[in-house]
Amino acid sequence: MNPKILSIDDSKTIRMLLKRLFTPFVCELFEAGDGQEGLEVVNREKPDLIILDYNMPVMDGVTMLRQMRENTEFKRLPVIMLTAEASPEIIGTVARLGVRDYVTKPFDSDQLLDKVIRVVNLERRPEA
Amino acid sequence: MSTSTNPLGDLSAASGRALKEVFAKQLKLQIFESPVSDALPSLEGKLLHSAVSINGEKISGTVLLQVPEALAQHVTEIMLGSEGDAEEIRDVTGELCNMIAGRVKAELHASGFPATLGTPTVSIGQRIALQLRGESQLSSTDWSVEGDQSGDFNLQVQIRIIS
Amino acid sequence: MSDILTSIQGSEVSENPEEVSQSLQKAEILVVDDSRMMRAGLTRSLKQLGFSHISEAVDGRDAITKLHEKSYDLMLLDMEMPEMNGIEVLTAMRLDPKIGGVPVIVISGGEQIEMAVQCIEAGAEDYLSKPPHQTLLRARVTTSLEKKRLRDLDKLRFAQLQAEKELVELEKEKSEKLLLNILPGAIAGRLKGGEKTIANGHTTVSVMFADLCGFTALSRKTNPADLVTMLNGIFTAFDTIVERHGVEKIKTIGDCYMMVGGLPTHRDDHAIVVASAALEMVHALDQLNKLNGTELKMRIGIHTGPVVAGVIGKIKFTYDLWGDTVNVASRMESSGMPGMVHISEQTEQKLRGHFLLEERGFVECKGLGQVKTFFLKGHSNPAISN
Repeated sequence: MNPKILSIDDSKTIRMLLKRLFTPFVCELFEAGDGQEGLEVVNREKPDLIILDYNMPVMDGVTMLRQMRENTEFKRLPVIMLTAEASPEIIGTVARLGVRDYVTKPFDSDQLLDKVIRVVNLERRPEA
Repeated sequence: MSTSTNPLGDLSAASGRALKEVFAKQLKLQIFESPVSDALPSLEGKLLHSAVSINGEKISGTVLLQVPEALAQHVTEIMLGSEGDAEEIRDVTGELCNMIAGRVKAELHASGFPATLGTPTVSIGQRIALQLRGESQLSSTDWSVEGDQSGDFNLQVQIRIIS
Repeated sequence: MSDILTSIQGSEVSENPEEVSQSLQKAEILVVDDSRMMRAGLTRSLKQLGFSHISEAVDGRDAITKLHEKSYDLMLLDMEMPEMNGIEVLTAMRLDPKIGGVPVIVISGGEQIEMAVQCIEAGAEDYLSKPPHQTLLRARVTTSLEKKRLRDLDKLRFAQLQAEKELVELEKEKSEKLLLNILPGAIAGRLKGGEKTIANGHTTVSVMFADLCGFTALSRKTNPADLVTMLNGIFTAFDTIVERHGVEKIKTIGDCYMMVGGLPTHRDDHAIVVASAALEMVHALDQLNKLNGTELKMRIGIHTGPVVAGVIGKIKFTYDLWGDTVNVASRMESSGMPGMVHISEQTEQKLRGHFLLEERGFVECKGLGQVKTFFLKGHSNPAISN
């Protein structure tokens, strides 16, 4: 089964950037524009990794994470925060909710890729 | 221009740090501050403006980024890997302002002024200048991207202490 | 003839066939006319119909005053009066709910048909031209009074039904109120919002709150990724300890770690397992501080008492605890000291003999007043603590 990566961010730019980052690898990519949509995709696709923003309309990242963790099926689902938010309170809160890593924006794409690879096994697609 | 003795700190310096970090880390571009504000002709035409509001219990303000279309297109190419359409260019400009505002906000938080960011808005038009309202600090700085003749842009940060 | 009338009307009938039924004769009628002659004439006619409770008013203002003094069943109102005409009286009545329910029959001069129509539009029930024909008067008055009687009966029946319904609601509320009294406002609000709750009754448990302090300072010199990794390590360690002791981790409230011993199924040693877990957590944090080179501290508070435990939610259910016990446990934590496990006397009672305890003092707790508190120092049998 190819690893499934879900990116949840209200910025189309970030979602496209991540898509571009992971396209050279064998994986299935999913997107959501807010926490609410994110929850729906999680329930439907059961991804192997979530890259999660904090500041989003409808439902923010912390609320989404909290609700997701209430489901025993997703208690251990790896999450990497990718957000412009860097306050200690938010960091503490998401740490309690169990996130693998916390990347602040602006970010180095290569560094993010390294962090992702530590969580999901990514293999390069064969050159067409 | 803000002074360094006020509680918010030096907004111009904070702007500089935020911009340099965003441009270097996300876009891998070097930038430098332009000493004289009216020596940048590329900031005279149509510009893309992106604004993000900063709101906290003690402060309220705006971060405004203004870039000429050519620079916005260039930045979009870097972020997305290919030429973007009008919508993508606007979105990239907004996200850039979001990141810059995020760094400014982090510094304000460390100075004792926690706040949240609003959603970026993007519009096109002539150069605009934020007004100093009441007890607010305003910083307006012009910048150039190294090696890019049309890579000039302006950043304004206006913060008002509300309590 | 009387026999036929009796069978038709059903109720007691008087000797005068013109008279209205006895039940209607009790009606209170107010006659309003500025002409003494007209008033006298109308009163006489009404008396002939069997009505005995007739009052008179000399103009509009007088009528309104009298309407406030007594409850009338019908008002006969002259339209052409000085100072306040029929329309004005009707409007004044309509605006005043105390008197607006009295039916009005307007008496008008022959040429005033438009005025009469206006009066009906202003709320009058009917009109009669003056001087009113006896038969017509009887018919119009009877109709109005009957209509009012039925309306009054309806109102009474409705009020009775409302009262009955309220009684049923009240009983239902009483049983729910007990639960709602315990629930904090936020939960009660969620219940009102339609979330269902399946709450179990009361049971004695031990509740622990643990709050990590000092990591705001830490965040200033540590980047978010490293901070998260560090906190991860701490919370994973805590989770393991908690699970091993048979203690249940409840969803975190704000930034506080909350757990409970004795739920979901009761165990007699609930206080002991929570205390053991607390001591191990303090020890684990010390170890992690040494490992990470940090100085994170933790305040822990424990209280024992009854809670309402239940499941709340619409689709996904969250297990939660409510009650004073939870609040006191939180108070134990917030009034505690970094690095110490702060417990109430209720918890102390359960721990006596098993643990080393040190008296702390008294802490004011809403609902319980002054609570004697202790610090948990360790196991009384050192062989237990590893």
